[in-house]
Amino acid sequence: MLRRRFLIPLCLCLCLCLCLARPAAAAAAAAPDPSFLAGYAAAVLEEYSAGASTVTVTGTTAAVTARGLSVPEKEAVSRALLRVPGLTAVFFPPDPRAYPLNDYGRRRWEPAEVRASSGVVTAVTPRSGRTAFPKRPLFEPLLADPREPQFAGRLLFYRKGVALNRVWAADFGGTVPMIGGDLKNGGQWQFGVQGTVFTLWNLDTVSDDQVLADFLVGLPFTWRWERLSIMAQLYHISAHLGDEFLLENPNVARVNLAYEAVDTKISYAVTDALRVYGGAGRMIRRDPTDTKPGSLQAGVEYLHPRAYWRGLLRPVAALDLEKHEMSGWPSTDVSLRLGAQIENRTRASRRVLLLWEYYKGKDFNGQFFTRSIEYTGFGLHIYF
Amino acid sequence: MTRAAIALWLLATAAAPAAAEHLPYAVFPDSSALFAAPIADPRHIGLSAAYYRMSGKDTADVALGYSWAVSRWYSRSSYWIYEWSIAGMAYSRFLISGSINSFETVDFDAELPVVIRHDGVSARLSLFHQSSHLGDDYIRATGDQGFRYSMEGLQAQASFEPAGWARVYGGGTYLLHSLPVPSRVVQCGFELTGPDFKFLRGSPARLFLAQDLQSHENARWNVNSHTLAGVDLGLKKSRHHMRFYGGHFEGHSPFGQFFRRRERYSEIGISLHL
Repeated sequence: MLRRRFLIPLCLCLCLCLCLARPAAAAAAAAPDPSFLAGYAAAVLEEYSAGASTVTVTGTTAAVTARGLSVPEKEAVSRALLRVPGLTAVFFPPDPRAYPLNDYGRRRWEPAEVRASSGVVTAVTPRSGRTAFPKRPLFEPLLADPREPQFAGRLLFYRKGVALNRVWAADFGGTVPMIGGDLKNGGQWQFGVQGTVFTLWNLDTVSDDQVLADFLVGLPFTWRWERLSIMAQLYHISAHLGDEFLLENPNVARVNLAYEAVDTKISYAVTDALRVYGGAGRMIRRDPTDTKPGSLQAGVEYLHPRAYWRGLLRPVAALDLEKHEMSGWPSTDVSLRLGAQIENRTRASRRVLLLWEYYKGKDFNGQFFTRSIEYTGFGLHIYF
Repeated sequence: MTRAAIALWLLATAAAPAAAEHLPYAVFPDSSALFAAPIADPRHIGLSAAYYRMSGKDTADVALGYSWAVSRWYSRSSYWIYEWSIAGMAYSRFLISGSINSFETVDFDAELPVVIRHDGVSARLSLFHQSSHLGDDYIRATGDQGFRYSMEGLQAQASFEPAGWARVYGGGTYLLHSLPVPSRVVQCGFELTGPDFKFLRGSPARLFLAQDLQSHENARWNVNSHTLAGVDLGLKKSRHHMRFYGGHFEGHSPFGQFFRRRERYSEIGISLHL
């Protein structure tokens, strides 16, 4: 009884001491030199391949003018910068908000002495000639494009079109930026490689038969100026039927579909949250040779500016519209995806998306491109 | 008792930010070398492409795979690190001939590994699924319809790095399900990596030699040997690197649909490590 009587006040006192001791300890720290902070922050920015950016440190506040960063990237950069000893707030002018936008991870007990220290120092990250393996892609992946190179697993429920009902779609691949650098006019460029296997599995068979496997290999060239990004891409696609599907459907007519094509896409971030894009493509070599070569694409994506659940979970929505000459110009393929992305706190391109999806249009799987399909489903999409 | 619980909760809450500062855990950390995939294992999960001539035909193997660390924990002393991941790969073979490539086979791997590391010693336990499928071009060319090949099981591997330049590893599998025949595997190997020979400024370049030996039950425990040697090019400020290599394989095919075939080839290849 006596122990209990002393335990509670002791715990409360200890708790109070911990809360009070921390600001006192921090206050004892010397005010950091703004030029040190600016240099340190510039080095951090360079790690994020945000070349030719400036960091202006006023007291313990950093203002960053990095080119073409999305909100998740700004949050990742700000989290990294806030690890710099002495920095208390990060801004991306003209945006007046302090980043990261959610409170989690922001320091709350910075000493008044440090905050009041004066001095304005601007550091400029060096213009990089060339950077191997840039950390972030300049052209963000298209979230609702069913043929986006990525790792993904999706459970789909077909409503019409093919003799399939429950289907597992598994994609293995992605886009890897290989080399990049700064342009003289303030932009950036990148060259990368793409590779993906798109597969489909029929879950209504005893052994989940493989229905098809389409292979994509591509060489994307990308450029970015602030909110504008462009991708020109040369790629090859070959479409194949699954062995188990052939075993179950021996009389199916296999189309030897393979082609090389060139695509150009332009993307513009209207606001921090809203992005629109459009583009056109044309096959330059195709088999069968009578395949119609043209395609058009447009879309819109919404990435919620605020991330929830300790800054990890961010709502997203995306709509992709495509027209293919081989399925007739009047028809439009509609792909809609809604959900949330879970992102790495200091590297925004590393993320997992949990998305509900709806698709209506021509089958984008090469072997069945003449059929119209409609499905809904859920998917897990992973980007490195 | 309730008051004591409230007091302890207050204490824990007050202490929490301090604990977060030394990061006892990480969500989606950069997948890294807690347990690096064996370099010379032909089926290690990663991004790679290799070219070789076999039976007079130009052949290419393409692996599209990646391992994502989902979360990582550090022990209080930071001497022990634990990590769990998700890994997946499509590993395919093509006969290449100008603009027309013939799709021979594709194997799919999915894994749920748990890794533990303490200094130079690491261990990996993984629940895995593998399936193998013939390519439609191969079926059309040969009439061979193949067979169902799939397995699920547990794979255990352990690795010891006595020095920064040397590593030995070994392991085996325990099967939960297997078609068409049981195919347990015993594996061992070593890796040697040289110092940076300063070939490029800003890009550490290291020579490496790796040897992998595997014995498969479905090949009557005959030993497959895969030797790789090449150069590992990295970046000073990044953990990303790539390997250019030459190698030699001798043994039963690493592809499930061809497991009865003995294969022997010398290859050149490239692999990316992100």
